[in-house]
Amino acid sequence: VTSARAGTETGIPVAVVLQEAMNIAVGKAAREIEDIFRFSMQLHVPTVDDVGSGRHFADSTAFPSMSETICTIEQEFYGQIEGLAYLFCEPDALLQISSAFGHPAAEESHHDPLLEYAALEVGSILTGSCIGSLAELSGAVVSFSVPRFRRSAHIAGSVEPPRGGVEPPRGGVEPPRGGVEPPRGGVEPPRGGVEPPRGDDGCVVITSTMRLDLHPVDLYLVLVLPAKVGEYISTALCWYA
Amino acid sequence: VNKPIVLIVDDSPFARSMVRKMVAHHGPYEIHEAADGETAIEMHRELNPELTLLDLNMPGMNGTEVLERIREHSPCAPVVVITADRQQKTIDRVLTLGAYAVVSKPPTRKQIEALLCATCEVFA
Repeated sequence: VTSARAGTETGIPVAVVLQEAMNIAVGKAAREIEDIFRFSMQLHVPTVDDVGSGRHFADSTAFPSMSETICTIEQEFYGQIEGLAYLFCEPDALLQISSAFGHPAAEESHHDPLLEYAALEVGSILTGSCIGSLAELSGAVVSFSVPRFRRSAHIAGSVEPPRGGVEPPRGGVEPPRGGVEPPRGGVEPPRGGVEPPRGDDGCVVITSTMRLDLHPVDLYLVLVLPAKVGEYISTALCWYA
Repeated sequence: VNKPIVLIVDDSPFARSMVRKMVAHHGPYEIHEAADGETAIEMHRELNPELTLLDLNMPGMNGTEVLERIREHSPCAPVVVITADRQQKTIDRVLTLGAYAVVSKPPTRKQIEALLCATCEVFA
């Protein structure tokens, strides 16, 4: 996707178009966060990686500022644009986010369940807005699963890439941002590595780094898309251009 | 007759290509591109463009710094910020620094045309 499958109608590599699409999508999502929670973020240029078979997702992404327990908000999305979204952050970032909710106990414990509610809320808004923006740019219709929260000791234990494509939710399609599932308590043990996606065409991993203005902690929004979805978005955006 | 000069500054070749098409569609402009902040400042000094379309979120020197540097040598040159970052804090900052306008990405053809009419015809 990044270079081997370069060559959209404009002659610009798919990865370059996806990078710009993500840039636009994250910018819009950051505005929503600012409007709702009254905190702003510094945005960085997204990166796009091709995750072919045999490569581990965790190996393909870099999270330079993360050194301790990692909190993950994970959400699937379905439709013409399908894939998985992860928001990674350290517990300190959750404290900052939670304080934006005016939660007084936030500074006392990294394991306060309300921190997880705050993380789920911010995560689902960021993801929903970002994916919604990509869908809008592409003329696609997308639905979302309920977001999930987990803690892991390192990145490999916090990620489950799509296995053989993303399955749609059972029993009907859930509307975007349709509520927040109660957080699951406890820390999940790290798993021994991450299985690569099993799709024939591999996946595209788009990573966007956001630094909270309140406190210099980073959030990483990572989208894992089947390659065909990356090409779909890219083609749609080139059509717009 | 000299064509009005438009400088497009964006690290993304896709974004530059998109904006270039829109500018070219509007009329006969002399269009230049810069992929990074340092190059943009040099080109701005050299070309003194009628309109600069500037991205903010770029690796290395970001668009805010570029705008500040341009203002040092061209206090009144029209610089329009075209950015994906829609946060009010960002918009307020660049307007304070003297941006002529702020447009959210992706810009529409109408927005680009309106900017060209407002700047190139006035400043040419």
